[in-house]
Amino acid sequence: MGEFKVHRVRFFNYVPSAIRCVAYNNQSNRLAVSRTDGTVEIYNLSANYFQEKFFPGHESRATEALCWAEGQRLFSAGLNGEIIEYDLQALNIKYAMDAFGGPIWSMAASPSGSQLLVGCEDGSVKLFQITPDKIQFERNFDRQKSRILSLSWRPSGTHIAAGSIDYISVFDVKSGSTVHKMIVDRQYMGVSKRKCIVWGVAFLSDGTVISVDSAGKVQFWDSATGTLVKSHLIANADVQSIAVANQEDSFVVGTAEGTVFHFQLVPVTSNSGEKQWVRTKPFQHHTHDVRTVAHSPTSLISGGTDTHLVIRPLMEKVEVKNYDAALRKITFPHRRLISCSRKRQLLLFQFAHHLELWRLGSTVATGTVEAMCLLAVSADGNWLAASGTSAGVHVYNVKQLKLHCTVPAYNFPVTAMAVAPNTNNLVIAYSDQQVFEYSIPDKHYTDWSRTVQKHGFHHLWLQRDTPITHISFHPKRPMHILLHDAYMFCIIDKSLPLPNDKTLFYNPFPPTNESDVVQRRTAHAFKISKIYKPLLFMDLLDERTLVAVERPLDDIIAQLPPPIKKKKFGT
Amino acid sequence: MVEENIRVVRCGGSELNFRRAVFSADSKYIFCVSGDFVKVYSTATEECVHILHGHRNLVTGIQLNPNNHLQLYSCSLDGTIKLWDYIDGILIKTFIVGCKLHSLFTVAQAEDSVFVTVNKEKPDIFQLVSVKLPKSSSQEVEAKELSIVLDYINQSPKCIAFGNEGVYVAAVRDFYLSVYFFKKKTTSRFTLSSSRNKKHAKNNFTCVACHPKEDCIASGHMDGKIRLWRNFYDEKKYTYTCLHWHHDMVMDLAFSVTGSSLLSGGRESVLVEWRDAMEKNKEFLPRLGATIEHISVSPAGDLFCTSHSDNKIMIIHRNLEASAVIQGLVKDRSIFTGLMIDPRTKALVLNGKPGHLQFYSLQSDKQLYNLDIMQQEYINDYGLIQIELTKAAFGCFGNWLATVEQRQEKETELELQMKLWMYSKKTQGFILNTKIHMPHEDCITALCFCNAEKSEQPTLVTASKDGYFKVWILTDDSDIYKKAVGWTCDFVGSYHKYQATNCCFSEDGSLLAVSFEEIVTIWDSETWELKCTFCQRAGKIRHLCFGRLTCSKYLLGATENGILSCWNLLSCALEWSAKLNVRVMEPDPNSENIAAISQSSVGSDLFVFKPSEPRPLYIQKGISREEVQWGVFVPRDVPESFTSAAYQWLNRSQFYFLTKSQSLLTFSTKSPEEKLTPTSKQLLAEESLPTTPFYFILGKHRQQQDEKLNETLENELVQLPLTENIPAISELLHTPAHVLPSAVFLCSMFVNSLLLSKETKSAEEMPKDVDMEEEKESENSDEENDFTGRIQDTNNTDLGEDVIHQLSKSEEKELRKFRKIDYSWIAAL
Repeated sequence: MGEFKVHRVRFFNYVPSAIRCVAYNNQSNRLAVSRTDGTVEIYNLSANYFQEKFFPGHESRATEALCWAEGQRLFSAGLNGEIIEYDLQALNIKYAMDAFGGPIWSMAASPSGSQLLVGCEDGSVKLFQITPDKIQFERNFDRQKSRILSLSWRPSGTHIAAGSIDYISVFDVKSGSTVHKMIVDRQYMGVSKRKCIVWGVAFLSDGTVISVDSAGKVQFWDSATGTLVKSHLIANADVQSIAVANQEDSFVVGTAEGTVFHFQLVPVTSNSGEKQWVRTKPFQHHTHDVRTVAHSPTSLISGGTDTHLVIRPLMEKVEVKNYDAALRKITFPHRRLISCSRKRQLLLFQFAHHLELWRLGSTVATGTVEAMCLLAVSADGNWLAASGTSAGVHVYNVKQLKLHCTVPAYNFPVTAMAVAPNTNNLVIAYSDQQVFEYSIPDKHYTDWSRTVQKHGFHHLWLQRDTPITHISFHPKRPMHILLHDAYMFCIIDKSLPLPNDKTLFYNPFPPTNESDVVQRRTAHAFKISKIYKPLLFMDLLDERTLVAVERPLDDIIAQLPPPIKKKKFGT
Repeated sequence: MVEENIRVVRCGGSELNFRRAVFSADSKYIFCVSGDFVKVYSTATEECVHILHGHRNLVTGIQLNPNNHLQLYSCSLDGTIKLWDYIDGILIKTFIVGCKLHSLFTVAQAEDSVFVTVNKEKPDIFQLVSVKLPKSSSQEVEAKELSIVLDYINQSPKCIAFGNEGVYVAAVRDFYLSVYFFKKKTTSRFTLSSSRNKKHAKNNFTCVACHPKEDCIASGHMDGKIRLWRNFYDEKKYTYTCLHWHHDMVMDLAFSVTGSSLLSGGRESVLVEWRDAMEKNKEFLPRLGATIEHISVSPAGDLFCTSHSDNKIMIIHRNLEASAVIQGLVKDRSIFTGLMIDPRTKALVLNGKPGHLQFYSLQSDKQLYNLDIMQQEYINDYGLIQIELTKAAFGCFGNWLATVEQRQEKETELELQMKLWMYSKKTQGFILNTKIHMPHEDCITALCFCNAEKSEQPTLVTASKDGYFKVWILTDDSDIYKKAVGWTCDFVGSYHKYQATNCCFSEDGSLLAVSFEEIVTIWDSETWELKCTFCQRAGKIRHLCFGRLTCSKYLLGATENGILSCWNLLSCALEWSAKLNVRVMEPDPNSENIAAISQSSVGSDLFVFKPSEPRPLYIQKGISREEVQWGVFVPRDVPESFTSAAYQWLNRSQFYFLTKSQSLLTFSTKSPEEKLTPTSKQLLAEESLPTTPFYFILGKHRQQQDEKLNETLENELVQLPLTENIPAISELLHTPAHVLPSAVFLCSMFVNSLLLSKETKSAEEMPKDVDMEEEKESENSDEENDFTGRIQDTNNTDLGEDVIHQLSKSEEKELRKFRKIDYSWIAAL
């Protein structure tokens, strides 16, 4: 494969923002994630958890609440007092509307999806009607004394639970008046804390209200009588989030200690119909506060200050135990944040609100930058390949300014693509880890690509959980394709045989001093290096030089606020 | 009664913590297995009420009869299940199963069958089978109708639990939990990850318990976690909650009767109560002293009980307050101090709990008390080098106790401490008098008091590897604040820098023998002058002792090379020597006899001999398969009357020895059952009230007073077996109140017998002149202490006069006559 000189770049000072809200949409199996800098990302859970859409944010638009309504419409609300609707086709903000209640702390869409409820700083709960192209203020509910931090609709749509400071209110939707006011105990492990903040509420269809609060309690209330039914003390710190499954047989809560607890409704005995809520498994995948949780039919989703999005599948709900059923931890965006100029030896870093241009070695200024969205230009400048958020890839003839051809449709979104310099072959990587090579002049897949598809990829290749974010080519070796994801760098040599499931996939790289015969026997098309991780970018500078941009997780953690100190046994 | 056939018998000290203890339905009694017996204790008084004997092998399980809570099932390795009436201590029925039974379970719903574990073919594979108990009126019934419930399970009954009214049974082994549903006849199996990586390496199941009301199984694990399994009808949708507090293996789990709380225990010696199965809601009962092996809950719900690795059962109230302790012989550690007899209580004294000396009553098979020598918190951790109590010795008729503790982490870092304890009459216990840091530069190898009667000053000698022996004497340590005594070093002796290995005083205290490796030196105890040396050049001296009584001119030494030598101190010459690999050499304090136990490849042999002649009095080969580590002569309260010359050595004293596996054995002609129940048969609980002496005084006898007024005294007397060893106290209590002397006299006698039980007991059995003493004493009860001393004197002089003292038939008759006189005298008052 040859040896390369590697520029090992670690000065890309990228810190992802903390996750504030997640909202799961059951219809499309998509997940909306909002971060503290106002960024909203859409993940397609069917397409190998690929981050397919992205709305850049701004600090003034920091979101506090995020919800799906009316099927596929996405709304967010924040401390600037505005409700924002996103245009998921055009990838921009459709409109922003002020709720006139001060900062908005919470938002909930009605079970039918036609109404939107927001809880404001001034203690008001406002109901909005969702019209086809906008939202319209309908009325206010009884105003409360302090800010409304959490809201939940009863699935029948008749009642609302609102969590405030020190109490939970139950509203009747028809009259808009308070039915019950349930006071939360301030006591925390025998010590009276100043205030008990109800961080989250969930209204079940049987009338039970579940609340989570800053004293570390998960409490079950009967909304008909306004009484406490059961209390679980689960943490020494705040419990900050709650999400209930659609079937209402399980729910998940997240704590400030970074632990996520799963509660399940299990029968008391096998022959009686009586059921009880039982805290079952704790998951410790976070180091910092879990600000938000979501419950999809097959997994628990959590996010928080430590910037990871964790998707934990529920084993008992998974039909087949394949690699999809494994835990996912998404830290880095699924797109390229770095571009490289080969001629000028420049690196361009993309941050949320600025760009940085760094010079490598001792060459001189300015260079061209490749497109940041999924566009690929051929080296001779004749062809342009473009991929939108929908899966299709179109190839345009730049000279004639018209559509040349369309790559056959594929079910998964494109994660990276590039046009080979000499052959004008378009190499496309999809989120399901498939790689295709499409000949632009011939308008069909190349023979090699067909062979690969017939043969199938190695199972270890398909089990990687980060998408390929960059593809490039070696100028002197046309048979080579260079590509990478966050945890590996790979050179595909099209001249070598493809590996089958029995061959050793990750063979040592660079080659050890084994004999040539052995090497030749074990050699296959995929040459993989896992030395650099997490790898954000890798490209050829010239024939003999590679540039690798890494962002070690420890460096990111060092820039986060300190987590809650927990006593560890034996220390 | 004298049956001329001596055999080695196990004498008490059996494990009380082998299986979970079982409470009676009313929580008044607690049952525990103990060797081949089942013991019934009162939970209120800690007293052993009954011993149920009948099994011929280790009892492995006990359960209350679910259909009659006044009956108890037990199973044993002898292949039988026995049904007992525990109130009266009667065996009702025996069911013969025929194969070794390892544990027993009963379920109320399965009316005519019980569950046992048996093992087939391979040694480690056990099966849970249900045994149908046939209904029959005969005493012995064959129960052969077995049906397998679960296969390939763990031997320990802690790994099997029946849940929710017998609907299912849960069993754990290695890394999986199996649940068998009786109705559906299906087994679900849940496996935990057992990969070798660090996180799951200790996922092994250790114990299991089932919730009494809900479908919930609690399992304990090697890494200290407790898992609460629910929804286990479905192999896919099952779920569990983890509770983690223990840092080491969970030894046992138990749910409370209502299921509202879960109890767990382990090596931390802390009982944890998990309320509502919530991790944050737990209560602790810490400092229980030793690893919790078993936990059980009374059916009434008011008591818990924990069995500990130090052979202790603790009864704990529902509010987590320990209410009673039943302590057997502590056996879980190695014995350094050897076996000793406390001259006051005649209790066996040896290492007990870490840092403690235990006083164990051989008569009643229970621990009298623990003396905390180290007075430090014991930290339980692997690989931690602990302070060990290595030596102890009693001196001056039990007035003084010397102990040595040492800790050696490295070759050069020795920590050594000697403590001298004085017996306090006021507190009836030992009080620390002097603490000596580093009494020697190296390990202390031997420790002995000068026990001569005439010696006016208590003297202690320590021998050490540093080449010196030191003489410590008691001196006046008074100052202006208080009068006090303390121990100081009086003399330091050495012999050519050899390591001092043994030391020993002669019987009269005039000579001290100290062995320095191969050489024995004799010192004058008045002037500490070296008198003479003996050297046999036959290896280092391992044991050294002077002869007693008529043989006091002889000195015996046993070497490591298997030579036993006897020197004559008058001629300073070797009297005889024999080739014998002596492991244990113990002189009998009441005769000239010396017992030596030799070790060979096939087992241990006992030789009893007098120093005056090289021919042994008695030889018993193969007393034990394993190595005998320690032995001791215990003076008998009542002399036996073996006429055969070979057994005369057992007349005055009884010989106890301890093997490497810590079984306490002795020689006896009686069957073990007779041996073990000296007094408890007298204290039958006829009603279900707890049996205490006060109950007899106040309760029963008050009722009987009126009824028995007319009964003749003779009737009462005939009932009492004359030859049996009855302590004064029970005599007193069994005599009807109307024939008893005045309360003033009673009180002093009662208190006297409680405090100094031995003396009073022997007073009962003493020949004529002692009875006279007692008469005198009755006139003036203030002379108590003098009286004790005098008895001691009489006893000793008696033995001095006639060493091979043996009661002839006529003498015996006379003795009996005196007893009768004694009683009629009481009646006359």
